[in-house]
Amino acid sequence: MNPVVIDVENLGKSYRLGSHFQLDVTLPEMISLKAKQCFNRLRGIKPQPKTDDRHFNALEDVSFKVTQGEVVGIIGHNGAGKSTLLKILSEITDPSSGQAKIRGRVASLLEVGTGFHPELTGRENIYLNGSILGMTRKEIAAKFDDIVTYSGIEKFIDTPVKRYSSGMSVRLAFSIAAHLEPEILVIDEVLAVGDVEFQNRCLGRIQEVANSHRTVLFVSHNMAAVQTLCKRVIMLDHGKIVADGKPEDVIPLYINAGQLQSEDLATRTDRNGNGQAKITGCSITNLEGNQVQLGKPWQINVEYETIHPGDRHEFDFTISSANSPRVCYLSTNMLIDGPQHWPAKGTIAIRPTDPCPFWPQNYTMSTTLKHNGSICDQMNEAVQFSVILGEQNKYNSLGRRASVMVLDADVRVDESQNSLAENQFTADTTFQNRAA
Amino acid sequence: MPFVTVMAREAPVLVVVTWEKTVSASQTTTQKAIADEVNPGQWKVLKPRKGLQMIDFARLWQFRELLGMLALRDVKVRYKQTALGAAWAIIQPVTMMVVMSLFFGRFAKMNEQVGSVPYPIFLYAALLPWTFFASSVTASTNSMVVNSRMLTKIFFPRLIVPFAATGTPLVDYAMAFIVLLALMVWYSVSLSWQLLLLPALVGLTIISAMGVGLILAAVTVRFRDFRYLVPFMIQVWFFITPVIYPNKMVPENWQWLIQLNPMCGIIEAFRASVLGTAINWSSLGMSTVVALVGMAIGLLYFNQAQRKFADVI
Repeated sequence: MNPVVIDVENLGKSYRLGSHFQLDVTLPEMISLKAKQCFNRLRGIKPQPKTDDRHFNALEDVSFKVTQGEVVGIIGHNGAGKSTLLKILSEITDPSSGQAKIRGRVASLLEVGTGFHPELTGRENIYLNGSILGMTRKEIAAKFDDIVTYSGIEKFIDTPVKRYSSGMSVRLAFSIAAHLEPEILVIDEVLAVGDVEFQNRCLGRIQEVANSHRTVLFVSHNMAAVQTLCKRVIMLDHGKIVADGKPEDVIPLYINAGQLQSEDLATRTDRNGNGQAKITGCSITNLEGNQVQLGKPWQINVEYETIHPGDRHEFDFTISSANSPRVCYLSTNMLIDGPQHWPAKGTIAIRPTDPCPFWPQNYTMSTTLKHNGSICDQMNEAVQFSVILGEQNKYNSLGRRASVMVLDADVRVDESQNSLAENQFTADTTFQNRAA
Repeated sequence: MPFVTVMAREAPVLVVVTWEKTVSASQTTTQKAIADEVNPGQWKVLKPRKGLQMIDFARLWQFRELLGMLALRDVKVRYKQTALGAAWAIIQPVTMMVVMSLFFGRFAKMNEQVGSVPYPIFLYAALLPWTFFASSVTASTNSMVVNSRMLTKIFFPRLIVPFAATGTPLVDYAMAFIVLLALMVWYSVSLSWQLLLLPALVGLTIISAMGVGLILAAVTVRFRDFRYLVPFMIQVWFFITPVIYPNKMVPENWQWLIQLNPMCGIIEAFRASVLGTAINWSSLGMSTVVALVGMAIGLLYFNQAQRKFADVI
């Protein structure tokens, strides 16, 4: 058992909404208030306990322990308290109650490129940002060449950062942070910036840190990343820990909780097309109208309106995930038969013949409605949905292997007697074990 | 101390001595504390801090290089993309001196009050420390707000920020000092041993400025009103400090009041050192005491207020 390096006990953080958060107390008000308090104290009147309950608990009674070398993902929806927790652990702000104990040098990366100055050159910013992150000049000088090589901007190292493209400055900033060598690394959602290549690089680097037996606390909305990197996930909701365990147990909870309300498509304004027909509602569910499960039948429910009743209409759908802009494309155009009679207003269900192949995570779907080959209505990210594993799913055996899609297959083995044995397995390496 | 060498490249030797002075004070007391910090087995407890806080000198020492880096950043950025560059550090005080010599000295007949000393050098020798003081106070007041992004995203001892803000005024000060030397040659003022006091006076000016600057920096985090109040306050302060007039013009029974202004004794001593006249030691002593007390209050208040900075800014 590795030693505990982070020990959080009943940690809480509350903000007073009135005076601190929104700052609606003016200076004279505050002075008169303080003066009144002083005066009352002189007269022996004890200060009244604060009566206003306008405070907001960003964190409430949070306790957990992290041992050395653990990589812990912290997930939760916006406002769940993730960043507040990281801010307390990085000593940026004090907790309001409870305590956190930490052993070892902590480096926190709540933002990429904090303190970068646009007027300074790349070289100067490496030194500046490095020392803000807590490196000494000597350390920076020793790692300088590595940092520059890693960032891939050797040519521009003596150019002011304001002339950099945003991608370049992010690369440089991350490169500096990547060369920190703390015992505990605390990372907020830094992957949100930068392109796919950059994100992969970040993840790779975090993996390296993790492999070198250092402790990592990692906040992200990117479930694929959390699933790949972390062996333990803590989920926060409204400032409390609601789950703490293995990624395959906790992430589905997050996804379930995240049944993102799709906005009212009927009134949505950012849409293209001639408007002769319109999608007024859309959802993706299993056949019972509940959440889609991996490997189970699923359907797309569409509500529409059209001024061409009776004519055939065509629906196109593009499904995307956070990492891939086009996971899957589905069009009713390739269907030979279909409903012949289209009312002016109605609901249709489109059932793909293949069971849901999507790995559990969040997806978005863009919709297009066509009539006679011309686009009537097109919306990007019209609907968001998530896929879950569900109970007693054969894919549970896949463990935490993450990809976007999973295929089912027939597997045939040619036996030596030339007799044909037919077995159906999941296309998975467990097959090899069983065959052997 | 590596950052001292950084400063040395940018500024004359005079400056280096002062930096060394301010930093080395904390050095001896904190050696033991650093040893503890490095040991990874040590638990660091983060919990609500109540009551009077001690200043964490060990942490300050750990981050000492950041002071130099932030100061250097401001100095480097200051005259970027200007045609005249660092010449501005000379143009401004010289122009002020010329205009003031003309209006206060000649037209308002102030030069009759200063005896045999040429009024321009009398004025400039006071304008120099005054400008340094004024811009240090202004810079440190604004420093927290200017660096607010850093405050909410990364941990480092917050005290470093207002101190680092004095870097740029200090370099400007050193530049403008060259003009003072030129003036001394022009008016053939003979050099006296008292010039050796100047580094100490610079240090004392920093201490006076930080006493005020730390409090204002901490208050500005919460009330931005002070960003507008400070320039006005500095203007008033300018007139209650003997810059354009000799201290002896102030009536005897007002002297005790005016001596409470630390810049009063410092500027008088600075001027006397340059001109080689007698130094008013009691006045300088008073200034030193006020400056040190102010600094102590400033440090304590800032240290106390910094707990809430990231939440409030």
